[in-house]
Amino acid sequence: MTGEVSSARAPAADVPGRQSRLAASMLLALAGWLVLALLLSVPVVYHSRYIVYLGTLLALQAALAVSLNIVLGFAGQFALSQSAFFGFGAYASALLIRDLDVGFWTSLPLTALLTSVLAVAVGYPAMRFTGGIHLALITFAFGELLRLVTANLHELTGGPQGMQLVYTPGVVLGVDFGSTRGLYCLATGFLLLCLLISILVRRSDFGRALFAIRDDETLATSLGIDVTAHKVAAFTLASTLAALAGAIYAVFTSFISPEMMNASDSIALVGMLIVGGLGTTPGPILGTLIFVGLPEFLRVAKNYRLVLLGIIIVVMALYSPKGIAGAVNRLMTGTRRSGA
Amino acid sequence: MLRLTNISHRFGGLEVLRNVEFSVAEGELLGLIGPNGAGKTTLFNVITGFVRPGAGRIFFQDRDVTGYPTHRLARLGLVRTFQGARSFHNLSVEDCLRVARYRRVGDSERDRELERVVRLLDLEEFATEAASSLPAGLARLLGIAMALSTGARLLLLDEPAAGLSAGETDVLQQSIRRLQQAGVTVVVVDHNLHFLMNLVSRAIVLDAGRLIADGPPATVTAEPRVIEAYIGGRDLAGD
Repeated sequence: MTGEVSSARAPAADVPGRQSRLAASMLLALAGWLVLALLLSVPVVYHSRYIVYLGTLLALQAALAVSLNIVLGFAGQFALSQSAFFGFGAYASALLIRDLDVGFWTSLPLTALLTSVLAVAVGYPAMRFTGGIHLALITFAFGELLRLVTANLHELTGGPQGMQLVYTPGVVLGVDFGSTRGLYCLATGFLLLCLLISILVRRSDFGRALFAIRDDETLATSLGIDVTAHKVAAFTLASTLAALAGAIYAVFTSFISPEMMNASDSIALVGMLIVGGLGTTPGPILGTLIFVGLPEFLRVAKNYRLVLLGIIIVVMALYSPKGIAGAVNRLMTGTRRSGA
Repeated sequence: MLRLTNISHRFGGLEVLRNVEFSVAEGELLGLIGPNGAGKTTLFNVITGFVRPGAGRIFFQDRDVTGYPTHRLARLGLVRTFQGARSFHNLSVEDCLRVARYRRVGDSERDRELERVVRLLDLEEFATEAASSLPAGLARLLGIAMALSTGARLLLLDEPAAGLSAGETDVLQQSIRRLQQAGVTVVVVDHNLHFLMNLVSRAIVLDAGRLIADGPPATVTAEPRVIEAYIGGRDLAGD
């Protein structure tokens, strides 16, 4: 404590240290982007259907984690409806295409529009009067409700047996997005879009306000920030991106079922963020690689995966509350402040 | 600047504010004192929209703002600070101030304004530090700086000197005077009578939810009712 006080009192002596810290974190960020580029190029170089398939799945899963990070990591709002909106997006897009005869690409903005209306309708009452555990319960209940409704609307959705989809995105600008590789490009492009949005949000006034809300809602209100509007906006953005991921997932697998909306998937996403680093930029991607990628490569049976992940979450929560991204950052840049 | 008429409020059966009426003139530096449980914090909460008063009206710059939500009042220029050192501990000092000056002016103008706030409160050296790393006295100043960054016209400071050392209290006093010189109207609540009496030009005294005195600090502290409520009388009578 005394060390912190004296360093705060004598910032001039601290400047060289701060500069090297800044340089280290920039190098780290650069290394991170290089690794990501390398990972994303593997399925393009490798001529294996399996690798391309896995890459597409991981990209979509990572996009879900990146978008959840905006509401859970930045704004600190415990929303458990990410997979419900993922499924909603898949069904919305599929039904628009099947019943209203719109094309795949047209269905995307329409799905986004429908989802944002739904997200505001769910998010506003949940975040206006309550927060914390109540929000978790309300979003959890909403997700389950959506899943049951989808499973019971047999005529529209095909019920629990799901829907077989017969459409493909087709050829755009010379790229066949219906092919395995084209779908991989679509999923990767969407992941990069989510990352870009998340980085822009983080650097904007809006993003700073979200971090402020996470730290102290009352103080944020007292400084003129409309806390409810910000929380609902973050929730709506995250849910809309999840729905778009769902629409792409639908065309990728050609089959959707109410199981896409399973709440356990939403909870697993929260786990990915905790392991990777809540609120950090690389966190959601690291978490996805460990949660989904690693077990796939190690061929661990699905049941053991959850045991393994449970252990990882407990260890991370105890020893590195900021996840892997936080731990790496601390090691590389030598930042010792636990709170910063 | 600020006018309260007939403000009353109760928590269940407990009447915490009874017909409180006073006004604050533009540019004034006003002290609000009273023993524990007098209703000072509730009054602050009522004025800043955290609590809707059971009865009475609040006017800010001749506008009836009764029932306005806190964030809207802050945007109009009515801002409070909190007891203790509250800040956004994951943000740097600079970012805390930027959050407070959110979206109301252009970027370059905002940077100029924030620089002015930082200079006014002597926080230049700490701009890039994490808010959580500041010692108590500076953290208190950061709280005021954030409130000021919103473009506040009226600042309500809730026990800004509580728990500070003598040296830190002096710095705080000077900072508050500078705020007033910069044209901000200030209302300060504090237990530390010495701190307040050296600072304000007018004091109002609250006891058991009632306003019992209003005037220059020297006059107010000499009033028998105030002495009874605040210093002697009931509080010590039982001992």
